[in-house]
Amino acid sequence: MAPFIPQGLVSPELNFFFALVLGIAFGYVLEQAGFSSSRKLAGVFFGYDFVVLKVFFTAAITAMTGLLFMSYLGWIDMSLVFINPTFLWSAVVGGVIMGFGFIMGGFCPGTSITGAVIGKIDAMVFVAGLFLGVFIFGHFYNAFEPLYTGSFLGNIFVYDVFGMSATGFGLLLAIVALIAFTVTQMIEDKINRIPALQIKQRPSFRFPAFLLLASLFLLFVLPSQKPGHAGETSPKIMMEELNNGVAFADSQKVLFHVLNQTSDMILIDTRSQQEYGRFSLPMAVHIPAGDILNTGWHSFFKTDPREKVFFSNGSTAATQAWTLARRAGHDHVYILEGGLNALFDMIFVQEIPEPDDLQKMEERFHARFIKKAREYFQEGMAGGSEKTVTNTPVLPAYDRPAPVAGGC
Amino acid sequence: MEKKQLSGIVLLLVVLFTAATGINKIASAPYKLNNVQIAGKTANQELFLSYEALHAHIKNNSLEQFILADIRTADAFASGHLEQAVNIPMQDLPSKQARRILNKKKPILLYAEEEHQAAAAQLILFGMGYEKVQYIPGGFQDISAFVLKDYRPSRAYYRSDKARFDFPRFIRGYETQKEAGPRQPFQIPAASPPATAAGGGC
Repeated sequence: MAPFIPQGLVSPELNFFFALVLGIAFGYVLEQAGFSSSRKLAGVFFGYDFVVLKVFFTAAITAMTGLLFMSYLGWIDMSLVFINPTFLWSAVVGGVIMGFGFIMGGFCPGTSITGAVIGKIDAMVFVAGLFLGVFIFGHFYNAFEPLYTGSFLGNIFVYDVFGMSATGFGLLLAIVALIAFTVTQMIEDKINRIPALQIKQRPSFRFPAFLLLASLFLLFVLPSQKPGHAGETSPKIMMEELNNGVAFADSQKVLFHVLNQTSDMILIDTRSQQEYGRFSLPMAVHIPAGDILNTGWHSFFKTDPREKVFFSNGSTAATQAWTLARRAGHDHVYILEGGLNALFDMIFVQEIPEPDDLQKMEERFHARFIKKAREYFQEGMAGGSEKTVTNTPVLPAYDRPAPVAGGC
Repeated sequence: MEKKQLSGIVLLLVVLFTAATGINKIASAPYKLNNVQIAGKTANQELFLSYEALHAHIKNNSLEQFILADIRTADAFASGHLEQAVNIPMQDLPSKQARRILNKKKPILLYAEEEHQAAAAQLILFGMGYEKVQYIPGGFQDISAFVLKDYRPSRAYYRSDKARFDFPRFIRGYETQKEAGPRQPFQIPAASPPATAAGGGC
């Protein structure tokens, strides 16, 4: 459920439910595919049955092709997908131990559980051995730790190491897989002494193989960086929003928020660090226009339901920030019309008559409102006191969406 | 599984992918650069033409090197505009007619009723693939007052995004705040460090 959890579509708690469902489905498929038999797995090493290799290689190629396509179409952000970090030596040693276990017991951890569940005694012994191994590892962890956490290479990719593109490597891997399928089939036939006539009658997999290679080749030759993708706001809509004023929050509305500290709006100061450091509106968060694209803010803009109002001295920097955010497809983003200049002009420069002298109710309310705002700022409630400084809202700390760990 | 079934499934997937690519292409906005590339572009070039430079261009009659686009409404354009300017109302910038006028090789110079409109149009044009786009700061009223009618070197670098007031002076207690040091800027929380323990496994 990798892209759904960081995006907030699936809560971590609900994820346990999906984990359970997927786990049961996985076990069921393993059992149905015959993987609960230790002969099936040991067959890979003795050459009479390569179905395990075919299944896992097929799964990898299918998932890879799907991810490559979805990433190309902009449907999945690969940076949110969990990738097991590489600890080189522990992977090598672990691989060797697992290979030994594989050939001795005829199970891998997953298949041993399915075997145990359907009542196979050898599988139960294997599971017991598995827990014994876990216990030993846990008990002597200090001794294993340098190996376990050493030679950390981070999230490295084979294609980066070889200096090729992800799609190029995908194509290469698919070719290797198809060659492996053909060769292992030949070995299998030879060892099992399958008659030539029976081999001939088998369905040919040339067409699906061709389609797989063709689609990966297509992905390889298509230009890699797609500038626009679905979900972005078109230039036309943005121009219209700027033109008919939908993009703007007027000074009075923002002032009402400042005076009453309403919870439906968040003010974003897009000016320089220096200007923000000197003065900003109470409760304003600082995001310079250039930082809007920072991936750290992405989930804030996507998930925070409040109206996000950008402001600068005039409205230029705020509009630039708005343009970037709006194009990225973020909703509920606005520009403070006229910026701080217009706001301060409204509060302090424009003449306001004595409210009680006014006849019309709206004018009287407006005059009172501006008067109250003037008092609020002049009494030092809007900036001088320490209270306001500490009042800067702390956004929920942005964690790089912790990609959800998985494994087979 | 029968050969026909397998081929059918793979064929269906390929058709789905092709359809998805097609839909994606239609649904995507007509951009040539992504947001990150635009941000890179804005960091590398002069975004606006100062009044000093504009004044010099008008004096030397060298504005011809630009496509001078007036992105105000037709009415506003009719009541006065810079010489050599073509009128492309803002909302028409993405249209085909506008694309014909705006040459991708010649630098574009924009001005609008207000500075922020020109700045937004600039970013959008960058996204649409135009190489060199600059805007004239201020609105048309500012340009005509400060450059066309009465140019003064003191206004050479006028921008309407500059602060017109010394904001903190309106607020009592500002001085005490100054002594206490500037307010702590809000920082983007750092990304969490990468996982240091291996997980998963078959």
